[in-house]
Amino acid sequence: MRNRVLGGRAASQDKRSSIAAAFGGGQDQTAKRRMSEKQRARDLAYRVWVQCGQNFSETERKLKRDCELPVTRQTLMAWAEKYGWKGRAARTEAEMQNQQTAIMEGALVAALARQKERYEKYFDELGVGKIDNQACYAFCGLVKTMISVKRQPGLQPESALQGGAEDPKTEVHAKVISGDEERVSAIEGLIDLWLGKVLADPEKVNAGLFREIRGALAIIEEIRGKAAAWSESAEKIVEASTAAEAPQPGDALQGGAEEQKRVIIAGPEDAKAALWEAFSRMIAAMLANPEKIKVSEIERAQAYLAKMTEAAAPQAEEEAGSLEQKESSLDPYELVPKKGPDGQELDPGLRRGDGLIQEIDHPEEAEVLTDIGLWTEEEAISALQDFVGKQLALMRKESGAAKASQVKVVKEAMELIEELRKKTKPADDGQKKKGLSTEMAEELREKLLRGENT
Amino acid sequence: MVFDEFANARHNMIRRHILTVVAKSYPRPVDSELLRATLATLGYPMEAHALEFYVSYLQEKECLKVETKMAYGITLITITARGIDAMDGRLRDCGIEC
Repeated sequence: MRNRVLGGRAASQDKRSSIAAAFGGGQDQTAKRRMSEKQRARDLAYRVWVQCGQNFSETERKLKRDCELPVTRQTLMAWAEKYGWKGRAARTEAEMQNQQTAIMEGALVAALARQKERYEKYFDELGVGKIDNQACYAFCGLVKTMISVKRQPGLQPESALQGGAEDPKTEVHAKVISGDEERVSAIEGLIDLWLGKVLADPEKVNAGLFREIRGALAIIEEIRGKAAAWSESAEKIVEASTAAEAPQPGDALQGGAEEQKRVIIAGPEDAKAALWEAFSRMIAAMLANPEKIKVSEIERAQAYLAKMTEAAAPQAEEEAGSLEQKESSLDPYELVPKKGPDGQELDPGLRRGDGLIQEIDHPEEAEVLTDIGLWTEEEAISALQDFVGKQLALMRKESGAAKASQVKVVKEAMELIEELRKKTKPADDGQKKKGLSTEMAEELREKLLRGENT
Repeated sequence: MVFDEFANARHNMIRRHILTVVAKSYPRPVDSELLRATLATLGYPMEAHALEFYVSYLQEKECLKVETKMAYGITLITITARGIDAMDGRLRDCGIEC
């Protein structure tokens, strides 16, 4: 049986070889094998030649020594001439260069950014009421990838593919935002992200979405305008501080002048820096964890930015005024100590001395600063007490002219103080607070309410 | 000969990667630029026309569906059920490394 099988195999092999011989295939195969050997030797010679920096003598030596391929220099030159080695090497180098360029992170992000612009153009030119869901999905994926690529120091393909659900703990504060333009672009990115998030869910695509998109675009425009206003007010501050640094002829008290200079320069500048820092932290944290972004947070960031801009404008105006006027005007801080524990006169802008606490124009501002973690509850209480003191002093000065709105604001501030005190009560037991005491606040409240009724 | 085999294997591998990337978003499309960037991060950087070559091949094999908006330079690529079958090894007749 086995012999029969073997015999069968031998017969079939003979048959195949006879067929190949009939067509002259056997000779061809041998010739092909020889050709491939020659070709392989040439390829090897070419690679060694490239490795040796296209030096024929060096290539000849290396081939003989390492590869045991005895090829003369003349043969190598002939091969190079015949097969265009120089052109081949140049092409390979150019291709490698292209690949290197293509893999660069910057080039990738730039390409994606260009594509994003194309999509934006497409969406702009899409008819009113028409929605291209497929393009929306693709656009959403593109934006998600761009954000994850920008945020990561090295490219991570898997997270880029999946849209990135990274650990927020490791990503918070990964991006440092500095400069007005960067802040504005960060907010724009945030709104882009929100749009992407909304568009990713087909159930949310309805007529109301267009209203929201319009609102988002309005926010961007507003932020841009406010950033410009902020820059202008910052320039005013710088100008005012430069003017204050120059010696004043009527300034008799040199120490007093130093204090005044500190009021003008240190207060708003430092407060501004702290506010910007807090704002940047907030935006960075939101960008680091895009899954948890809510529209309300974006609105809050925008309101916060608006508050900072509003706060800067009156300060700049105030600083542009004369110093004498400031001296003669009523001190709004008469209810809080003017001197610190070391006996030195305190800067009203930095009354607490231990942190960058600026004066507030509205109780809500203290609440916002506490919410975002820039102020502690204690600091917010102190600032609010200052605010109440200032308001009451103004109301006393203009007796009988107190407005209902002022009273309302003071009431709000006092309620907020109480609320914050309740929060911090266990920790603050036994500590004496600066500014208004509880009894005094109660007394003032009674007086205020009585005044309001009459 | 060896180099040809190597190049063929590379082409197969790239086509397989293309299908893998596009399959992640099935049944939604993926932008061609995003696909190119993802392939670059996977170690296969290539020019746009090279990607077009691979995508066209797979389109002819009915593994991909391509929608182009020529006026805007946008190309949307979606994997088909056949493409998923090929990727998973249920089809053997395509030039990808399954």
